[in-house]
Amino acid sequence: MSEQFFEDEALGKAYDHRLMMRLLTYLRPYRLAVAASVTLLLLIAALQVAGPWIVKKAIDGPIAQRDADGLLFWVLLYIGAMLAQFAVKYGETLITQWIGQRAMLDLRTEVYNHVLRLDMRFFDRNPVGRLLTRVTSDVNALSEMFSSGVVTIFGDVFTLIGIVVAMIYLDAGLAFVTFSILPLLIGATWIFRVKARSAYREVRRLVAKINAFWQERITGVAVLQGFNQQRVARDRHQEHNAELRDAHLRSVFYYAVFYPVVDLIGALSLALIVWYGGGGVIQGAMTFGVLAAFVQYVDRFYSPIRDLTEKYNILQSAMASSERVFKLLDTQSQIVAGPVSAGPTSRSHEGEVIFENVWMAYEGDDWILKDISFRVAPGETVALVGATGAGKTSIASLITRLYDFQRGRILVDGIDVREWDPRALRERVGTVSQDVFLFSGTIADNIRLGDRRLTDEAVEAAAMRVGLNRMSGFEGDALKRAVGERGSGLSVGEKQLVAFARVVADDPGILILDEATSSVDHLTEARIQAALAELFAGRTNIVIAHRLSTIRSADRIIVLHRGEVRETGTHEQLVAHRGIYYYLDQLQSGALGTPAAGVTGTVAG
Amino acid sequence: MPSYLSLIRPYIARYRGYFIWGLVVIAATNALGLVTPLILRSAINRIEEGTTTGRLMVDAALIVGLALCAGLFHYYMRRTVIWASRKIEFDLRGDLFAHILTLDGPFFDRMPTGDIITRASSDIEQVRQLVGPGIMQGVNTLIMAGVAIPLMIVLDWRLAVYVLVPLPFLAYFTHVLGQVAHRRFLAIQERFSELSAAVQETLAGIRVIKTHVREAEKRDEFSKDNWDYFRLNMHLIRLWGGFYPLLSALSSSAVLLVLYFGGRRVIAGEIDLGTFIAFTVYLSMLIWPMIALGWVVSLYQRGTASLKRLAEIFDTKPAVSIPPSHTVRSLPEIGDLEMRHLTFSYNGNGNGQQALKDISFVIRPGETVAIAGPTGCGKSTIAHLLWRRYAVPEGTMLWGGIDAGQTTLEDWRRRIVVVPQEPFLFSDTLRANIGLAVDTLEEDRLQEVGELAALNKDVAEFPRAYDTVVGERGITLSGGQKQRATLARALVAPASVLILDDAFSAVDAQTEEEILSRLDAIFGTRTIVLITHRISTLRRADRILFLEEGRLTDAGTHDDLMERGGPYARWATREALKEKLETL
Repeated sequence: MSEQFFEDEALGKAYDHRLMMRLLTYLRPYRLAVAASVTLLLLIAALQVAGPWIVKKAIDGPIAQRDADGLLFWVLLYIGAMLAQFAVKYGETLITQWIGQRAMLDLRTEVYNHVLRLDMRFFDRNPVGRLLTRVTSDVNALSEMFSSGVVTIFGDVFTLIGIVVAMIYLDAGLAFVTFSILPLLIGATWIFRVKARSAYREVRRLVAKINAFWQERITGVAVLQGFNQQRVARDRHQEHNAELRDAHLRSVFYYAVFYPVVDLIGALSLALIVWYGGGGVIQGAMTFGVLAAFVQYVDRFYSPIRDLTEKYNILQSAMASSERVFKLLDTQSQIVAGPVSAGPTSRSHEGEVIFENVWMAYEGDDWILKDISFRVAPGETVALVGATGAGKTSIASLITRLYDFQRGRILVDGIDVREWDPRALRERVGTVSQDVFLFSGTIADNIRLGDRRLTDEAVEAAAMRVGLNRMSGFEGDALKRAVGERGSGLSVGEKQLVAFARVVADDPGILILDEATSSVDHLTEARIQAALAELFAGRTNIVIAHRLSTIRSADRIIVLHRGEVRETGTHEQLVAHRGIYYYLDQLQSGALGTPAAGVTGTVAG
Repeated sequence: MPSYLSLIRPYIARYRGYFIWGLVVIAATNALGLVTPLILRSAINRIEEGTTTGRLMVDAALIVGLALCAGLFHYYMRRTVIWASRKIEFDLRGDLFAHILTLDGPFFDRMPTGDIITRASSDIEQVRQLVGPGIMQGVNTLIMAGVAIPLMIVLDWRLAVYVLVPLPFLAYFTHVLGQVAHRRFLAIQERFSELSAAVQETLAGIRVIKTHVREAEKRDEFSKDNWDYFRLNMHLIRLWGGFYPLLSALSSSAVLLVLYFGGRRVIAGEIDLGTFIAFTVYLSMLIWPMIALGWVVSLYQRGTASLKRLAEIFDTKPAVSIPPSHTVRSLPEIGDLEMRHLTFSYNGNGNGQQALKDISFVIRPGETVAIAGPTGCGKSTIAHLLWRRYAVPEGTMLWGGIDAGQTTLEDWRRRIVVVPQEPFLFSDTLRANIGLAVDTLEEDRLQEVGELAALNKDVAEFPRAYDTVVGERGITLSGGQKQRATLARALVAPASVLILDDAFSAVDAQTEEEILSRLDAIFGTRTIVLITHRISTLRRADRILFLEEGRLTDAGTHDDLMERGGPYARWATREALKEKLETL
């Protein structure tokens, strides 16, 4: 992921007016703070100019006149200016950084909340790693621009102007002679910034690359060793390593050249001041104080010039990041919410699910569901059976409107799903997916899923009803047991029971259960079956079934084949019918090499 | 000398030429830098006395000329010391990687991948900062202080005393603040990775969030984390925001002292104006090295801490020891694979939970042997040991009568190849992955093993067939496809024993059956060891070794064992029932 991110980091233009205006809207809530910050920057610039000025006054005044007592005044003034500068600079930094951090906080919240609203199709197309980058790294890349890009640019400009004006005022001739080094300073700084930044970028890319390499080789170290490939791996590593070293050495070169060049330019200006200014002093046209002030002013040129060249780079990367972030913010969910947020309109349709000639394709004309029609009566338990790719999971996704379909109608509680508010619909229709996803936290956290309206008692009751408390290792404070990332530390059976408990706690009127295919030991199997009975009670249930017992206990079985409903009936009816269901059944039992006793849901896991 | 310092010594010794030159150049740079104020001083004194512009021109040229030389030296200072530090970084990382490749099971069980990578990246970087900028700035400060301070004392000792007082405080202050800021910075980074982990998890589980309508709850959670992150950032800014302004206030205070006391002495006629200005310049030259001194101390502390962490890896020896070269025996191509009274535990031999207890068996060339047993019985441990991921006691594991301890790992692994439980592919083309064991993989051979592993049909549908890149930057394979690809990879290796450690768990029974029949047909003298709990697979084996809690409790063919009604029969009956119920 990281590598991809760095490769994504292509350099665009440094300034895009439309993007900039949009970025600035994030500063609008803090405009008072921005104004305060700019005011402080103005003060800092003034104080920057004041320092050398005081030195000049002291040298030309009391020192030249040998007035020791008069000197004290200037010294105290200098102390005052220094302390003021410290205080003002600190205040300005706090305010500016606060603005930047707040703007980022707002933007990050907006991006995250927006992503949560997007539909499943979007998530299918965008890997988690990329979205994560948008929320975290891309937003952080904008922090530089919010906190040091937009606001402090004023400070640098004020300071430069202040110094130039002060120098001209002190001695216009010497000022212009000194300014002749400016193009050199600006040019050198500029070239260095561009070179150093691109070298730095290259280094970062290569660091990410070599880290990814390490990650992979260490994860697969047993394979490398098992196939005696250590030497090859070492050689490959040294290739990456050498690439990184060379990129580092290139950037060392730029630094090695740049700092001496800046020092040299400094010496040049000093030489100019000694030669031209010294001449002026000899002729009595200039004072020593002016000379001293000039030496100090030239010294203060460097930092605002460096900052200003840096702004270019900051803008450039901010534009690239903001373009990606705004593109994400402009992506709209394809699932349009309907107005219905209440339950069924009439009692007779409560708990009813109807498919009417539903056609659905994820891409173009590649129909996953073709003209599907069926009705599940309130309180009925229906098993959906069919080979992998028959369309079972798609049917489940359509009922809760995770995806939209192209033709036909789906009614839940007698209301078209497109008229429902998706959130209300999903509260009405509970889901257990095939691969149970658990979050890191405790078992109780995973049952509650953050809903604070669920009391501890309700969570505990739900866990009891599905028999989670009877699982081994669940004695005592079972619900407080820690769950690792993606449910590590829990067995497949335990994870399923947790998912069941979620549904029991939420208590939806309609349940869609996508049974897990993975095997569990027979004791766990028995627990799951008991929990299923508890789960199904008092609900309409649509089960994508893989287990014999589940299929048999269903009121009705719907057999799907290549996106179509091919058979409907009870187990006995379907076996007697000798159609697809019978064939699926035979195939699976045949593969087992045992007499035909099993019934099949899928041919291949 | 502590082991962590002896770790870095040879690297510095290797590039001692760079370092010696670096020191010479640093000294020269400083010497030149110190002369400039003296020239400035004489120039100013001359101006005061009245001199010609021609003479001033000479002074100006001198200043520029000296700066030019200083610049050149400065350039070489970086080109030597920093240059060497990057080369040391390169060597150190290469050596670390090579060393890690020699380590085995116990090490990787103990140290998480993320931890190893942190050491390879940030710890090596900390060490580099110590040997590069650390040495450079440290020496620079010492020379600068060593020359400038005496010079200042010679110029005017009373003024020197006044102005040198704040300098040690400056160094101490930089050091302390740097440490605190570093801690706060680490806290921010930690919070940031927690925030990322939370977002990552939410996005990975987005389906659950949506179907259970928990978007609002997730928003609240995120908002809390987000605010936390904001507060930590501000916590650092409150400290760091004041750091540089305070530094400049402190350094100006030193200048101020010169201005006041020096100014008074100029007025009193005790020193000349030139000396006064030269003094100011020396002082400003000392300030930065003093700030850097605090920084160098922090670099030293962090660098040695990182060296310790690196030494921890370098000091780790592989558990499987290699015999001295004169006692190495080479293995015959074909031989019996034998375990003799093997007892093994993961945490050191003998003590702790024993994963295997007194295991003995002989597998003859060409046999197909299955190893079965309930979860945790030690099946996979046998696979680990056969691939020599862990050390076994002497005389307990043999090939063709030769003890494993008398052979090299390379030789042993040429005879025996394992298809592990968790299929692992590198993010590279399928062709490169399958051809891992050989230098060049011929197309015919690829097609052949692809056919054997029932992979060709799947691959035909991939965008670039066998040249398709898999993994993070390529297409994602299904679990079954991954397992079949790793099988193909193992088939390419010309090993005599193929161990399949539950290698078909994500492949359906029928396909597994097909693959195994094809393997049987072509294998001849090659031995297959199947670690599995699928009954249909167990039926195929010439012999089944049944394990329970690390002990071999039953052995024979499926039919014999079923008839005998022992532990295997009881387990297999339950398993068959389970299969019937669950694999549907």
